Amino acid sequence: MEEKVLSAAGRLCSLLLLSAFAVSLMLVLALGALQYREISGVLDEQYGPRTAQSYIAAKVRRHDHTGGVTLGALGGCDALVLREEIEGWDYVTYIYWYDNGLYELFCEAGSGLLPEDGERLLDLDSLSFDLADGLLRVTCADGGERYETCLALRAEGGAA
Amino acid sequence: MEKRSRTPLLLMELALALLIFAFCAGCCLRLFAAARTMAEESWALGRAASAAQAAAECWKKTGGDLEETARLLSAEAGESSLTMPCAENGTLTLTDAGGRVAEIVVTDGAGERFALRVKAVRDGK
Repeated sequence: MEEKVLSAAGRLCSLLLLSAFAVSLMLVLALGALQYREISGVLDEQYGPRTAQSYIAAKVRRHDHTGGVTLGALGGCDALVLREEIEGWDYVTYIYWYDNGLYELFCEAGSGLLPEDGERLLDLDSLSFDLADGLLRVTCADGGERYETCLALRAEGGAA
Repeated sequence: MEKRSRTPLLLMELALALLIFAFCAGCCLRLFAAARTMAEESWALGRAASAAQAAAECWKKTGGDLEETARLLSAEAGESSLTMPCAENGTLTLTDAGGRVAEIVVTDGAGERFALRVKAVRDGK
């Protein structure tokens, strides 16, 4: 009888130890998943605005010539208008915010295209431009965070 | 012949496995914490670099005029430097180093986060 009790106690201890092992394993996995989700959230939060600012800065530098960078409108949307001449033809690149996203539209000047004809680049909560005295301010927001950058235009003729 | 119980051996083996698992779990948790810290540091560095870049652009646009730069940045201008808050609990300081050169430093609770030196060039000079 006593042997049976001792045997049962031993088995119970084994079971308890195994349970502790399983619970610890689940806790570590859950903690790891939580950390991964938080880190992904931080990276996702940064991705949109930083990519948008880098993209716009590169585009503006590419078109930084006389009259190349102006502010305008495309189908009711405020847009950054970048002009260039290719083989004698005038082309325009519109960069604008539409339907909670950053859009780009490259077309011939005066083509009459609409905002929905552009290509959606990434998701953004808001985007605005301000151009005064040759200084372009780009303000974008995503996930409650507001990001602003300034770009000094070297060429003359940049105006709203 | 007495049949010896194997339960103590099993218990020892499980305890050893649990010990090894606890050691590995500790290492993993430490890595998770480090990864999160790195992500937050990266975010703060990105914000600091963006703020410094904006200040540098304003400096170049004004041709090295401290007061005008302060006006564009909505910052407080001193005798030879200006300061403004940026990002979270961060401070941007632009110091006129003479010769249209400015030193821009972004600091926060962790100390100096980002620094750069910029020169306003006019007509190639």
